[in-house]
Amino acid sequence: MTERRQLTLVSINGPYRDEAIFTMMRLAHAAKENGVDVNFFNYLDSTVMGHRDQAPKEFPTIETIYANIIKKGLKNPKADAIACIKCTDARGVTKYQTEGVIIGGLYDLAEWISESDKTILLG
Amino acid sequence: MTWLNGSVNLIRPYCWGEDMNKKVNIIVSQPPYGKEDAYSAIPMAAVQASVSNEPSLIYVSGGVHSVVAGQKTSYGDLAVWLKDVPPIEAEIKKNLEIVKFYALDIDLEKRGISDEEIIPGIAKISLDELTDKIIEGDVTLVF
Repeated sequence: MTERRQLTLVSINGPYRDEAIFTMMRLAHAAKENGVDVNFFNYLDSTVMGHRDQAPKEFPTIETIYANIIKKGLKNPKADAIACIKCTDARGVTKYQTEGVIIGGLYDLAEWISESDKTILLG
Repeated sequence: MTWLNGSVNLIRPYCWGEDMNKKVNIIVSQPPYGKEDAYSAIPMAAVQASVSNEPSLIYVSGGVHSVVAGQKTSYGDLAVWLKDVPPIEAEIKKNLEIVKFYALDIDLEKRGISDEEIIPGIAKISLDELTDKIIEGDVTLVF
């Protein structure tokens, strides 16, 4: 069996204020549909996107989309998600991350960059 | 490990010429202090060395203001503010030995930043050299 390709998506912006996170979700979903493993690394404000109980009135809830993509990726191709602990602590969202998000650090990103076929930063 | 100048760095340094894993370029276009981006890009670059990647941090556009020496940050009375904003200059100096720092020459010129004002250890880079770096690099992330 050939090893699957791996894509790491780094994000730095929070949801709703701009469309970058939604674009990232569409990209991640498309990548998974095409058999690519996806790694989400949430840095700075984007750690808020995994926060539970979001209820935007006029937009799709980013947490639900994000959680769906992670859950759908428990098997192959898989999707992993890590939120930077310094950033989640600063914003008080460490304990309220959606299911599947692991609290990690920049060292995890360094390893992902090494392992992945491609790494991009959106936002 | 402890460097010759006495500063302690917990990140494993790489040796020049060592077999590198990946060339990682981090381009910062945002000016310091107004946004968190310019500060947070530095630790992201620094940890690359821990997995033997070769990190370069390149300041372009308004981002070149980060390389000016003599930055002083303060909100005011510490009794009220408790903490000052960390100066980017200190973060750059801390990581000079593990990250290669560059600033785009035309953007420095545009903003009237002279060579004497730049933090020692930061190299100037031309647009052609930056283009080569991006093409040669394995990963390029833009803040």
